[in-house]
Amino acid sequence: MRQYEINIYSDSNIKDITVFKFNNVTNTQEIMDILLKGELEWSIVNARIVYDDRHLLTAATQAIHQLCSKGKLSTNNIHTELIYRMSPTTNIRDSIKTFGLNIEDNVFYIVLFGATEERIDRVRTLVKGDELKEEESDEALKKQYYPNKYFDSQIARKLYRLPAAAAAAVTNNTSNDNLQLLYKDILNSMAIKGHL
Amino acid sequence: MTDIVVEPTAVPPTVAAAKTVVDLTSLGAMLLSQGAEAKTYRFALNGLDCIVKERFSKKYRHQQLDTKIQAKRHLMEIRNINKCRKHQIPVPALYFVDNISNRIYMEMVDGITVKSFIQQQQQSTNSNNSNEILIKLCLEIGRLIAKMHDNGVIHGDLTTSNILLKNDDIGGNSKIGELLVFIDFGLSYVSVLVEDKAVDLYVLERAFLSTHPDSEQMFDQVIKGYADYSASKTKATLSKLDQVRLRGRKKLAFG
Ligand SMILES: Nc1ncnc2c1ncn2[C@@H]1O[C@H](COP(=O)(O)OP(=O)(O)OP(=O)(O)O)[C@@H](O)[C@H]1O
Ligand SMILES: [Mg+2]
Repeated sequence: MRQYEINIYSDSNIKDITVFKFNNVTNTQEIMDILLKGELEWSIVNARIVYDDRHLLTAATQAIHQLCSKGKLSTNNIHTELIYRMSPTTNIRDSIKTFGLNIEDNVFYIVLFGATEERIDRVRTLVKGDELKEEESDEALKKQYYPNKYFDSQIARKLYRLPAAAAAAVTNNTSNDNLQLLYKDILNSMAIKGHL
Repeated sequence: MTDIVVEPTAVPPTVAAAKTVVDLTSLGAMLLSQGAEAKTYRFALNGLDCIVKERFSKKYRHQQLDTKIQAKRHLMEIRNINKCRKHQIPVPALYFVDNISNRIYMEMVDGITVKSFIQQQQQSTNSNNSNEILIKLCLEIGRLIAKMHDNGVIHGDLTTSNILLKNDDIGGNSKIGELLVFIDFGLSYVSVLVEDKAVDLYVLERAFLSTHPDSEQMFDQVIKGYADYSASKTKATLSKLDQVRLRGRKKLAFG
């Protein structure tokens, strides 16, 4: 579990997020059922497309921006708004479906805005799986905002609608360069959503 | 007697939102430049190394009109940077667009302006080598502008300060043309008119000649690169450029 402050809006009453990552989850169905009843104030995010914690932070910042600028969200609550902001499209239902929790997932992120201890406990009691904590003590990973080893560049390319041809335009690139380029393209497509 | 009904005046959204705006320097941002219409900062947004371009209103102009103009430029900058990116014309990635404070958070390009680079090369002792580098650089600048124009984007403010050259951290492996990045799309617009493209080039020519001594040959290479992109697509623009130059000279001569 990691916590980050978001402080670029002074009069937002939401100022932080808490990030969990789970794998080997065995009760996705149960979580899904409670989620669909609207009883969980959580963002559950598809781990295949999360590059690192900054990626989630960017979506969270955009969710808060939406609230501060328009006075209202595009979706039901700030937690679904984060998922919607992860997506490059303006189709809300599709965004929540593809970037949120899927029934066959056993790896995912959970993000809470303004978490309390009770809500953190609820996450840990409800989710039957392994919380990935071991990497959190690693200073080098912390500096890099925990690159996500479950990130799948092929799935990400598909969901963000970024054909591989775009990245290949620059020759002589190493695979790490290409990954960096893909990440920038992903952030770019989130940033321009709604501005075209 | 009837009561006089006073309609409550709606608070314009920009005023309502204004209190939300936090001065970025109070969060550790570094002010890099203060232009006439925008401030540029370096800032770490959630751990992303960013350049932030923040548009503000000029106080002496009509406030409402000014806000409109600024919003338009803000939007054009976003759209045309994105359009270039889509067509593989090198531009910074956009990270976050904030309509409350008219800020664009974009990728920080680690490098120097082409202006500084040219000045460095012109002072270099190995002039043969630097000549060769500058020729390559200018050819590629021309080619990329042709590509931009071919995709309908007019930059609107082409200068050697608005083109960056990335630091080559791989150690000289990259070709110099791969290190160019175009910035500052605040005056950009969409057009396919030959006249608009020609004026775009003319602006760059004026910038070259006024910023860099003995740069005629360099600009010739820009034109060559532009033509090399596609003779058929650029021919009309380049002959138009001659007319624009003539017009420009007349303007200079007769005021
Ligand atoms: N993405 C970037 N990466 C690195 N440096 C940048 C970036 N964007 C802008 N800069 C730096 O900030 C300066 C000003 O940016 P820009 O030209 O976009 O703003 P401007 O308000 O038009 O400024 P000016 O009036 O000086 O042209 C640039 O000349 C460049 O040195
Ligand atoms: Mg500029």
